[in-house]
Amino acid sequence: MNYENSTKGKAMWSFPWGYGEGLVFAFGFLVIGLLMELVNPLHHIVPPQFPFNLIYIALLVCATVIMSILWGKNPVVVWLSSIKSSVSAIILFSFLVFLLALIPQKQVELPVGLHVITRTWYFALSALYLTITLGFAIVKRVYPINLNNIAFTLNHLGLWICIVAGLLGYGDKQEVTMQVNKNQLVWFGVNEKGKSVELPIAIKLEKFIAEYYTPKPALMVRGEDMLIYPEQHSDISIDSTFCIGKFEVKVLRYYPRAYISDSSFVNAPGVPYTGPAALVEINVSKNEALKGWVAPECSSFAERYLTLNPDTILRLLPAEPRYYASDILFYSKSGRAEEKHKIEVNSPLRSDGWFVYQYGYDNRAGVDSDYSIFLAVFDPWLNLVYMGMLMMLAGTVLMSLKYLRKQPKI
Amino acid sequence: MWQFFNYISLTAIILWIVSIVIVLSPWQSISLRRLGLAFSLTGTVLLVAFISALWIELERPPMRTMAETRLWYSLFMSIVTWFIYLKTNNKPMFVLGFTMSVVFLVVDMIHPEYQSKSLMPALQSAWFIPHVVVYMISYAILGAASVSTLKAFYLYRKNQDVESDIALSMQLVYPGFAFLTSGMLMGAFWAKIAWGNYWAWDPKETWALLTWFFYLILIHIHKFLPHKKRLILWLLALSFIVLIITWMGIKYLPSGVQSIHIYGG
Repeated sequence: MNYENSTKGKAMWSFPWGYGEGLVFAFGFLVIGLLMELVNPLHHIVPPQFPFNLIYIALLVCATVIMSILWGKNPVVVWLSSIKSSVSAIILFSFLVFLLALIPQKQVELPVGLHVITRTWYFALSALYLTITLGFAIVKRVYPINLNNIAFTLNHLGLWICIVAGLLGYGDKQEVTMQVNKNQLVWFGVNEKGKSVELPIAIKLEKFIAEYYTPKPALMVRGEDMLIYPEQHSDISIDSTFCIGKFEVKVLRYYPRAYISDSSFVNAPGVPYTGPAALVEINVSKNEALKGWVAPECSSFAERYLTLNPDTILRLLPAEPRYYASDILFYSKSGRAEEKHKIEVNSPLRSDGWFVYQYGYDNRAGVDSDYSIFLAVFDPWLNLVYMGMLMMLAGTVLMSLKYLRKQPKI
Repeated sequence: MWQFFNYISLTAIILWIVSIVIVLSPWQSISLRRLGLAFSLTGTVLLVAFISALWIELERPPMRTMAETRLWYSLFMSIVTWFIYLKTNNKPMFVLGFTMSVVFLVVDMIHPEYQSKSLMPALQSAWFIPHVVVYMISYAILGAASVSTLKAFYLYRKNQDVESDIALSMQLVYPGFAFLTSGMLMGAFWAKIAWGNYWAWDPKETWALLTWFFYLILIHIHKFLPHKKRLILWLLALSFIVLIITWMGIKYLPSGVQSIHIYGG
């Protein structure tokens, strides 16, 4: 009789254990986790850091391997390496992921850590239960070496590595933001607790570069949630007319950079702290044309819009950034000095295990921002997590191909 | 380009409906089958042409707004359904699959959304296209699996055998799951390059993980408890519901306001 089917009709807690015992274990982990959370919330405790996290992982690996080898036929070990425990572990973990998916995190403080679920005892215990069952299943299938077992091991070990390295590596991760003014050298960052942290890297901002799309016109109608946009992809810097809602709008003038003078806008190419503005004319009724300036808010003037009727206004929305980047000089304690780099969105700088990202700038000043904000992240467990991800992917693809090849043609 | 959308999608819809009528016609022959396949393929090719032209006009991949992702879904759904019919001759799958493609095009005709040319800097990445395309392929394959599930539910209620329908669903779930895993991991690699963390528990990421776990449970239950047909059918249906929430429902959830993944438009 197959072990997977051999538990049908037996009394609870008599061996071999089945799905029922698994669900009781899962529920037990949840209850114990909740009680521990009530007594001493996990997010009040500093997460384990190197070398303690590595020791915990080594203990978990040793315990799994030794128990599997020495007591491989013990019914509890057999159960732990079977689908019956795994399914309950996946269900418990999925249930917590479901709560995470529903409850806004890190907003309002909720009982038993529901606002920081990933930093609670019940989440930690559910991850532990999942890694234990995964671990035993992997040891059971790692040998003999054949395509089936390779696919299984890659997939399951990859997931095991991602969970363990991702969760236990959290304590070693550092993340800071660095606000760097033009021509200023900064070698410290501010962490999520607002504390200043000295870094092994330093940045001097030489130049901040930003490019914007042409701002879009939009109608705002009282009582409507959605804005109304032009029917075509109108670019007011090129098109002389466009239709929006029931109105036809003539663009008489468009200045990418302008400033206000006597309630009118003056073209000011290259002048800092200026913003886009457009002079437009609209036929609001058969005999009445309305002419006026529209401009989004910028660092030197407030928003200017046109009231077309008591319920409708025409706005020029704030321009969306097309590109932003920083030209910097980079220094590091490891010996890199005055290296010229450009840090762009999606193109971080890597040095000594640190990733430095283009994070932000003075949004109101836009292209004239005097500073650039960088995000610096140090995660020594990253490569291990990447390895786990690639293993998981390779295993999943192999298992799918294997399954499909085995199936009869329908 | 969007001004031609209604004409093009209406033509594609007519071609698909004609192909459904041909496939369901009582006079069966190889040439009629080929004609059905040809009509449906023409509709799909038309959609490919429209998406390509839209891509050129927008000067960015048309994958930013919900309406744009629905276009891709409709396209991939039609391709997946076409191949399933070619391989299996499964008529209900053909009808339901192309009906799903039609529904998504009709939704786009009713809610075309504002097609902006702008693309925020974080989306200007080499990962953007493969991440979205792989996810859409996965959603289409898993959608086809759920279509097969609909038929299986109907047969199950009539106490008829659903073995072959579950088998077809699972033959779709496996590759769909592989694409789902690829899409999720590509997203993680991209997130590390763009935002600093491969996983941030953003609501969209969390729902994507939940979808992944639902299909993971389904695969395990199907492998080890294949006789639990009712449970497998329910898991197939539930997993697809979670998938749809992940794709379209995040912004309606309390946790959704925190997401950086809400579609533009």
